[in-house]
Amino acid sequence: MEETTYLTAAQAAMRLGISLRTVRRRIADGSLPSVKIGGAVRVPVSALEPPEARQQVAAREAAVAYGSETDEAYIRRWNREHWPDSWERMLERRRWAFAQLEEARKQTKPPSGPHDTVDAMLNQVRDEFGQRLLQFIPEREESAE
Amino acid sequence: MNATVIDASVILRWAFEDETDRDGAVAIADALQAGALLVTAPPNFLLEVAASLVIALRAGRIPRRTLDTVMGALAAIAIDETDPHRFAEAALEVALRTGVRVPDAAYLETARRARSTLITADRAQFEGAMRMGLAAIPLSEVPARDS
Repeated sequence: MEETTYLTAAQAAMRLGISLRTVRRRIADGSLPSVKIGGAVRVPVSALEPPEARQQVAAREAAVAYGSETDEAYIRRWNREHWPDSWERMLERRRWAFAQLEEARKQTKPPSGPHDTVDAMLNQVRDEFGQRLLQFIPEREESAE
Repeated sequence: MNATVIDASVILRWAFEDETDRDGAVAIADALQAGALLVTAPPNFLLEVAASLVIALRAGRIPRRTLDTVMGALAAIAIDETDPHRFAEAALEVALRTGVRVPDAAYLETARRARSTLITADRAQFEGAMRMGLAAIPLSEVPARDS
């Protein structure tokens, strides 16, 4: 019988290619299976989607046309297999979130002009943020490629 | 395109009325609710959304309660954050190489790392993705739910 191996949250984050915070959140909400061993939280290796598989799926799906029922069904099955016991709960949480957004949207006012559309607001944010960050980048000499 | 990076320009369209390309944003929301999309986001994603909402609040487009509701809902959607290892350095390098803004470069680097398709309503962002050879789709070309 294959021996079960357990990982720390940090190791799981590295294997999944996501942040430690996301792994902790998934452990807390149950969407990532975990066990307590001597008071320490550990993630069974079997609960992780292998990074190779994740990348292969991502690469394959990138070439798939949006809106195909067949491919959506495939992704649903893939997700169910890799998010055991929690997939429905995550979908339920998403449905709740979008219901909240729908309610919030009803409280919004339309843009009064091109200066306060979503795109204009976001551009303002990105311009300011980008400029501030660039101040911290030392000037570099152009290097030959 | 089921492995995706969705930028703040798409997310914000879920929260506002009377915006362009809303059909595509709604179609993506439906796909997320059905579990048909894998979504990864860079660290600046929620900050950009929050900062834009503050601008909207100051412009009188949304009440304060809406700002809190939207942020709470986005947290509940559970979008994966990108691998943070040396992320800032990589994003800055992308910005310097492609000429896009640093926040835009964060999305491009995320799409590169996650081998995902970038979906954006931001033209500069889309062109940056093209320059990097990444898969990208403008929001205007995402088919509406019933099409």
